[in-house]
Amino acid sequence: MCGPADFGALHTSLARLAALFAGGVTTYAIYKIVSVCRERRLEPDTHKDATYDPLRALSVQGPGERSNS
Amino acid sequence: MKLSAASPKEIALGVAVGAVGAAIFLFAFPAGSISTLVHNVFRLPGPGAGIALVFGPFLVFVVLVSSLLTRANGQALITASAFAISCTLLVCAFRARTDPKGVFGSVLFLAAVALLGLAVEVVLVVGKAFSRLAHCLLAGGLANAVLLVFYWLAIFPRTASGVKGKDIPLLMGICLVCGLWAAYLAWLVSRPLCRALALKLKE
Repeated sequence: MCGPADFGALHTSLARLAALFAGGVTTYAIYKIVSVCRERRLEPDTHKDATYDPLRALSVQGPGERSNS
Repeated sequence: MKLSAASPKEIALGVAVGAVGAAIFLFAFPAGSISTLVHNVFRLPGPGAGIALVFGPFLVFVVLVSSLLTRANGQALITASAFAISCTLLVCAFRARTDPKGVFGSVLFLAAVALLGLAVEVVLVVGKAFSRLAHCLLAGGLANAVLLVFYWLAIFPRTASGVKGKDIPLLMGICLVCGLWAAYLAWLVSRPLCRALALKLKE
């Protein structure tokens, strides 16, 4: 009913499962590293926008304009 | 959880997940490996231990991941059918050695896998009242049990032998636990996958 044991097939199966698992983990790690790098690359731009730069503000207002406040 | 009709993109995703799942299954489990694992290593009685412990949970995982990614009606059935057809085509194309007891690539095999997809589909539609994880677990356990019962009734009497009454509780218990475990894994995996694929969840 159970058939003859084939431990060679079982070893092959375990080796292939381990290879697939390693491939999956590597792919996930690469995806995670890429997404973290992308986030870090975007971060300085958002900080630059958030901080007040008087020279930049002056150039936007124009040299002749004055604020009323 | 809301379910809506599958769009062409979602159907394509279901077919792709089913086909990749079939290829991985045939690659990872050559003929004789499952049988040796369950009967010679774990010393489980047969027939049906391989279905309960390996094949059913693998299929539940593939089908549920696809369903949870898209949340579309019919996704489980599409993925299960794609899995069965891809398995059949790969077995024919590459003359892959499979366990004759599992009748891979036959009409009965197609029916068994489609039945599992249908069971998942029914639970996902009917069990909307439960939380997502709860009805995911319910779908996994029930679908694995349906697959095992179908193999016991329709396939194993032709290819192996009938199951003994005293072995049924043990095999059914293993079947339910492994189905639940596969469903939980599918639930865990589907969340980062959803983000990675940037699929809009319709919920």
